[in-house]
Amino acid sequence: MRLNELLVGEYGRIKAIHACEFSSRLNEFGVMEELSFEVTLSAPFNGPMAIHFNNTTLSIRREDAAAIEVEKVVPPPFENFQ
Amino acid sequence: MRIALFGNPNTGKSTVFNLLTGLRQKVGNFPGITVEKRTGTLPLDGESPEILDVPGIYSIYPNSKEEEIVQQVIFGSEAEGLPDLGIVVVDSTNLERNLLLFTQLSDLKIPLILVVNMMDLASRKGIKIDIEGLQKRLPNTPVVSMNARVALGKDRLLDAVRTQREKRSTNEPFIPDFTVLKNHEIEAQGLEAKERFRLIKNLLHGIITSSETTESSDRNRWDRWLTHPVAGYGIFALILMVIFQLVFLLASYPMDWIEHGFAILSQFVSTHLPSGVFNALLCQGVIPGISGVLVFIPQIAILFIMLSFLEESGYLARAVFLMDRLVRPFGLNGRSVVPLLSSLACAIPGVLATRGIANRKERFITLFVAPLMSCSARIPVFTLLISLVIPAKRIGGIFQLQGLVLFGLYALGILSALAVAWVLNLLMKNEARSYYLMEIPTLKPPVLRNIYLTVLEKIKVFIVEAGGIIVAISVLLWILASYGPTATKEKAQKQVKQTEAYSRATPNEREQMENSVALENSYIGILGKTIEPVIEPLGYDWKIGIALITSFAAREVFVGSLSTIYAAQSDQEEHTKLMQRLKNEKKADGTPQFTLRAGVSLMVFYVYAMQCISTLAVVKKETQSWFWPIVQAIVFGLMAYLMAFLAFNVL
Repeated sequence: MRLNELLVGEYGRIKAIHACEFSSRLNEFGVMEELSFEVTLSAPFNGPMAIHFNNTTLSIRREDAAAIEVEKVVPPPFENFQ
Repeated sequence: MRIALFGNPNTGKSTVFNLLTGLRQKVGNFPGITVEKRTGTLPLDGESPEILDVPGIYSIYPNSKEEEIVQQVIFGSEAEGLPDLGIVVVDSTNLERNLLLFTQLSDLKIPLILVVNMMDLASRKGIKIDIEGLQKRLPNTPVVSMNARVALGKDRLLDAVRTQREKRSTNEPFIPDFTVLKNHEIEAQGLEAKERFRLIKNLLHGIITSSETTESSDRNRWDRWLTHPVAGYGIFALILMVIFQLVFLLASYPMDWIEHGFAILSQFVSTHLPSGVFNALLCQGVIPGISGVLVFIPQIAILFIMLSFLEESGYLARAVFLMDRLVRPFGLNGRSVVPLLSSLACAIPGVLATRGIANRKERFITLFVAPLMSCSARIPVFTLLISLVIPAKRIGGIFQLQGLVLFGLYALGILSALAVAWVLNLLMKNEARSYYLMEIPTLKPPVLRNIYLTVLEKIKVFIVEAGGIIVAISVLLWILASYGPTATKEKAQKQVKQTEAYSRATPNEREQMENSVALENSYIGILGKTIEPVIEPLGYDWKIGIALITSFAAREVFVGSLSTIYAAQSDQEEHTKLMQRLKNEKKADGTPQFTLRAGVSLMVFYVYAMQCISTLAVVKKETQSWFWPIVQAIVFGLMAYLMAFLAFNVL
């Protein structure tokens, strides 16, 4: 499934990031394969969403989130979850 | 020695910079582009090395065309060369991600100091960092723990600067044979980042221990409300309302002091200096010009105190997050919200604030429409015209009609800005795909020193960018208003002295009548009469034409010009007297000049017209071309004419 399909409060792990103009940006943020995260915020009217990992909250537009393939996981603990 | 300060956004890098340099800083531009270049000096053992505050970046690879140039200046071979020392500020709650930039800089062979900042936040989140252990693993880089918000660790940092001062880099490379900006391909950059994060994980192994805290649920509770579909927008609207109430309420006092102070000064100079051209130039051109610049400062200062309070606290990132989807259909970005809000005080800092928008198209659309947001210079114009033509009655028992009209004018400006943005979005090509990746920082109490320095800088920018132009134009307008073709002027002066009204008038009134006639026959009066046929369909005569022309110095000059034209006394009661005169003003056919139609038409004209040379100059500077300001002047001028024509003829 894709990141934009996850709901607020759900946890996920990244399986793959499909190559796009900002995939290296995502990597530089530390968003890469195997990263576990929580979906913490969602802006109304199909606006951006935000994921939380490693003490960072990162917001991303939903259509951009569609480039990130994730799997849904049951809640923590994860090794990279703080 | 040249020191560069590096760090991701939201690491407290600016706080460290402010702590080191205080008021010894200056803001300029990187050559050829408009990315802010902030430098300062650090007093250290009698020397004063220069510190460059590099804009917050996540990686040395550029994110936009602008960043590319910044990176070239700092890392490029043809530039000044690499800095002698780099201070890398990292967020202690997020060491892993922050260290990416550190390892890149280290591989560039820059001697570094690692500042682990915001240690208080880490301990509140239950994160423990073994600074000594980290220091052992980075033997060539002093590791300094800091809490810059409360100035903790400044001495440790200065000591580290002393020890690193004369050093050449002996950093062990993280990635051997790493050359500057070698990885041009985006994919290679991604791979490099992944490799670096693997190395960082090893470096940090056993250094960080974290324990469970309740912080996470706390964070979510606040943010759930701040980004709630109903409450989120409600809170945002409430904050905006409070801001503007405060701006109007608090700014009016210092504005009055400034205006009265300069009126007294002008009076003093005119009576104490020998009379003549120089005296008149000083009292009627220069002093009112300077007053016209300074009078904006209270509103700009108050608005920016509050905006930077919201920014520092982390709230603005939430507002951007909320607004992104709403403004996107108009070709804007969530980040356009801040520049547009600033433009409600003055378009100049608003246009400058668009630098934060990475996508070029979105940035240009934002700065193009910024002048349509009603700035504080329009307020005196609106207040005068509203009290002149709109009856002071209540609607539905609650709403003041006059207040509603003022609100309507603001709404008209905002809606028109969105409409123009929408059209531009259809017309402009997008060179790069717009994407939006933004970190949402933790909510935290703001650092007052940072707010103070930001506000001071905004005021400085306004004075530098707008001050000279406003003063120059008011001097030019004074010349145009004081001189005219001598023959016609003298003839008119003689005629007025022979009228019956003149012979019955008091000496004071006589002087006013003479002034009024002199203005009518000055160059500017002739100019007003020349444009009369053009503005007649809008309901204006040549006298209003003069006021329209003088508004090019700054819109609020409109009020002052009208009082000169209508020969109102320039004293405390000016406003009521001016109102009386304007109400009694008759057209040639005997009907009142300032009817509801003409007044509304004039207000609508001021909503649109691009009557601010300073803003045009700043837009030219920011876009590096005359194209945009010229298009702005033409488009907004045509809109003003058309909408004012509609208002006059439909009402």
